[in-house]
Amino acid sequence: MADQEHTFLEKFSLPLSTLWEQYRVFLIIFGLLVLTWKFREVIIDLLVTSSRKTVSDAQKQDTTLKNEEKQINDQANILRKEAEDLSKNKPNVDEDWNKK
Amino acid sequence: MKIGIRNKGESKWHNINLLPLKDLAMDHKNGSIMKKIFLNILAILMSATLSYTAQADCDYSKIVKNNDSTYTYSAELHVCVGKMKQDLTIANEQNDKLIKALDLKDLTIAKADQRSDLWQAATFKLEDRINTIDQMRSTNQYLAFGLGALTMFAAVYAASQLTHH
Repeated sequence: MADQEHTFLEKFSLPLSTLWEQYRVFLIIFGLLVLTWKFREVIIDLLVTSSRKTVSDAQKQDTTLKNEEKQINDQANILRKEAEDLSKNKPNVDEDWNKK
Repeated sequence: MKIGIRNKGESKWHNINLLPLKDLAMDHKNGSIMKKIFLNILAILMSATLSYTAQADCDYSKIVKNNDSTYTYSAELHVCVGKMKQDLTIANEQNDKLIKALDLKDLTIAKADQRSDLWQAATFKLEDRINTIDQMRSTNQYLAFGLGALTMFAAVYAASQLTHH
């Protein structure tokens, strides 16, 4: 049994150069496939990260635009209020209005 | 005698009739003079204390054209013209302010449009990326399947080599 195990393990001691020479085509195809698969996984991760950044940037820009919009709207409302108040607070007109 | 009163912000004028003094003296005989004096005072107080604005009617048809191309009109109409001029000035100021307010509102709408465009562009970009990711994931599934098959084939082949050696 021990002899058998020894013999079995010895079979693994085949040099790497022999392995490469005998199965070069298979190893190249296998390696290329692994590289392609891993490369595409990395690209997918990059795309996901970039998408998250796009959303984050859009949110920041949206907040800025929203604040600007609110400020401008407030200014417009103030002007409208001032225009309304002009007719409410009219001074009295006396007979000498044309001399003032 | 008649005076016109109106509430602030209202355009409608209300007329209040005040009795002349001679009429008051005539009514002395029938004993209701005190009542009428009280009503007159009440009418005046109402117009003064309740912030009513009294103004005579502006009847511009009373303006008289003179022979020397000048015009004659009463002091009441003179005040009416003053008020009209004041109203015109105020209306012009109001127009200026309201036009500015309108411009600002336009700017507000432009900002809202910018936000809308921003999210639209972001959505299109994200949609493109999602489509790309989906394609790559499905291709990677085939690649992973192929790699698994190759690994299995290699393992079986290696095992057969080991057993036949």
